[in-house]
Amino acid sequence: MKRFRPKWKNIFFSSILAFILIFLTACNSGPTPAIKATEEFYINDRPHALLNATKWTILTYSENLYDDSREQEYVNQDISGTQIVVATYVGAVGDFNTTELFNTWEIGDNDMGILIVLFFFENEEEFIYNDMIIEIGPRMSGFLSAFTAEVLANDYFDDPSIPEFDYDQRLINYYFAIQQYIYINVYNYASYDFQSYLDEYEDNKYEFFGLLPSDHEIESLPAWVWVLIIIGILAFGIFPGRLLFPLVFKGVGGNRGGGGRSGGYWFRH
Amino acid sequence: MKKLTPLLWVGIVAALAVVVIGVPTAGVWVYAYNGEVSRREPITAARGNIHASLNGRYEKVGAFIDAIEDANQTISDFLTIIQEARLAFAEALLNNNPVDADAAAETSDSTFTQLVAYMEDNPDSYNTISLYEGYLAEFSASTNAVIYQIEEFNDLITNYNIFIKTFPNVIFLQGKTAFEAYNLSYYNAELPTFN
Repeated sequence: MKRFRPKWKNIFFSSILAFILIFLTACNSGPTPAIKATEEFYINDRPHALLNATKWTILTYSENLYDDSREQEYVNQDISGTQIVVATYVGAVGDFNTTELFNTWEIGDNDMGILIVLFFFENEEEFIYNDMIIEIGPRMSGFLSAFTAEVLANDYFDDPSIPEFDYDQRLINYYFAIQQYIYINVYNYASYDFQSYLDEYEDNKYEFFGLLPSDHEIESLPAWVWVLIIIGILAFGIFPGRLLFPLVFKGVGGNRGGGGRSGGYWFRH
Repeated sequence: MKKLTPLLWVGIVAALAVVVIGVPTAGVWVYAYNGEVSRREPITAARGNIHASLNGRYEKVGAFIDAIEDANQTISDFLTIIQEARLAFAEALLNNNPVDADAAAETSDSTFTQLVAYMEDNPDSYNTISLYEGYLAEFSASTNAVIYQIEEFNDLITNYNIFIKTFPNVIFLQGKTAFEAYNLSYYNAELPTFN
């Protein structure tokens, strides 16, 4: 009988230690941003306000831009790693600080990031576009000023040929105009004709191209569930791998911010 | 075992007192000193950032105001030159003076080329509304950048002031004065007007 005592003691103290570690980890966690970054990073449409094609288009071309901008000559000039991130939010401007969001997500290498946040109202049947904020990283603002970004927004987002309700088309129009501006004015491309991309988007606008990585995302578990899981492991030897592995490895892979910061240079369109 | 003399006892007690009181005191002093320095230095940098963002704001906004005003003036000047050159060209033709006519045509062409180039470089220079909205966005963004830097600065100041005023740091940092928060009214928040 005596031989079992140390084993139970070990389990007891291990449990206490595990509990303390979880408690301390919970205490150390940083501030939670108003919108959590998605695995795909470049598109963050948690309210599901955008069309599937819009999301895939932004994800694809933002990844392309990031890759194109990382050529050695741009690395040498410290202008590599441009990231354009588009996010949607149901609520009003001022509900959260976009600069904090930008800095938490660390958009763009070398402060070459752009964050576009679309604000919506939501009624029972549809989303109604309400506002847009454009925030530009410090180094990027040397190329793309708020002045230019606003002029582009006037020309492309507010394009009178696009129906006002079709915010997907307006967004894509504007998104490609910014891409064009960056390719030509930052990376000195001789030309960047996005008309074919626009045509392709328009042709497949209402197609479904599959779920995005974040659509498979499982919400992280609260601390008390972790405590129960650890107690379960220690007491009964059960390891809920099916539940835990996706949570443990969900941070691996996907896109990430390049460490960029914002100096609060944003405006409302 | 040898018996300790009273003098030795005093020495041991004194040594213990030094260890028990002196070492923690020195530790707190070092902590207060280093803490003060490490909190003061970022304040200097943050103040510089405010000045840089203010300067950037003045320059950008000023430049855009000039651009808008100059745009109209530039185009107007170009058009005046072209008009005058065309009149001179017509007059030279009437007077059968090919040298003057060529000179006027050259002026007219080169000015027209400059005007087209100018318009291509400034596609919205003839669209006052678009320019004005762009200007407002620039003004708003550069103002937001200044406000952000001021908030960063004031956060650092609050952190510093709390550090030097709280116990036990206050004992060791007597000579340190608290920083004053940067007031938003220190900079011109008024919208500049067009002439």
